[in-house]
Amino acid sequence: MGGSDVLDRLDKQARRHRDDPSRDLTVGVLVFFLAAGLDTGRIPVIPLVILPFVTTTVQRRLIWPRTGFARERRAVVAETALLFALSFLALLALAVSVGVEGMTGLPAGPSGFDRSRLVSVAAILALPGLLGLLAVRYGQPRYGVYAAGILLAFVAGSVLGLEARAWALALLGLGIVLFGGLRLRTLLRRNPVVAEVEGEEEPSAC
Amino acid sequence: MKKSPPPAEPVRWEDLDRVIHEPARLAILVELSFVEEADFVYLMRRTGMTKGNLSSHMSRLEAAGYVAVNKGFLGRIPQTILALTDTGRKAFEVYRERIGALLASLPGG
Repeated sequence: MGGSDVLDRLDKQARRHRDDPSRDLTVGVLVFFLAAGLDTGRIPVIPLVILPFVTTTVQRRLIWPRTGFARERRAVVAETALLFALSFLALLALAVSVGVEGMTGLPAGPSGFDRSRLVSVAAILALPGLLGLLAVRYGQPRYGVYAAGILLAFVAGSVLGLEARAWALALLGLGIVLFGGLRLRTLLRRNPVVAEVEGEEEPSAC
Repeated sequence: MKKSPPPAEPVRWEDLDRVIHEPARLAILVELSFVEEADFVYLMRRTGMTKGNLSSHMSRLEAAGYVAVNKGFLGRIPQTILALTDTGRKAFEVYRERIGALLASLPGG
């Protein structure tokens, strides 16, 4: 085995270590609120703005004192953000060109141009791409399962009806949150807080 | 006809950077090379080192200018953040090349 192979393997192990349950919680909440946005025709701005702060608080208070903190390389973060932004914009352009009704089956609203639903549709459809990227980058197939679930719920909506789609996506979001919660509980149980200075260690929270 | 470049000087064992060649310090540099920065606890978890051990190797790497160390707090818990410096990144790359060349030059390598 070459030196690069060993480094690649270590890099994969390190990435798995950095993959924490806060991502599941974030994805679940995001799916739930986007499903709500699709159903109500309103972009849930406040929950989506608050979400990053809540995620960071969970990481700072519960996760990093146990697993340690590591910041991803700037190039990796920039690449992920760029890919998500580009796919979101491409889908938004598609949604604008074919119209909400053509893309989702949802009524377009009185003006015929329902911006909130266009944004929700584009975001929901861009999310599986981002999750696929996470699945490959962190070697975690569960993100692929989430992505498949989102696409399936979305497609099923065309057959089962619009309300069923919103419900399916909302339930999927809640399911992901629940799974993330269970993973977080396991992490808290298995990993006690590690303090850098002797005598500052605390027992596990659960 | 183009001239082929002159053969590179063979790498010798003494050319290896002794600061990096120590397994614990090498592990720290490898882990830091994967990320932008990481804290003390992350490196403890990843390398399996004790606090004292990691602390002494961290000081050695900092003295060599290979890692930058910043101390702060995560809530009320002290937090030490480490990052590879440009010098450290270059030294690590040179070390990788040299150890690779040395191992490749061994019989059966």
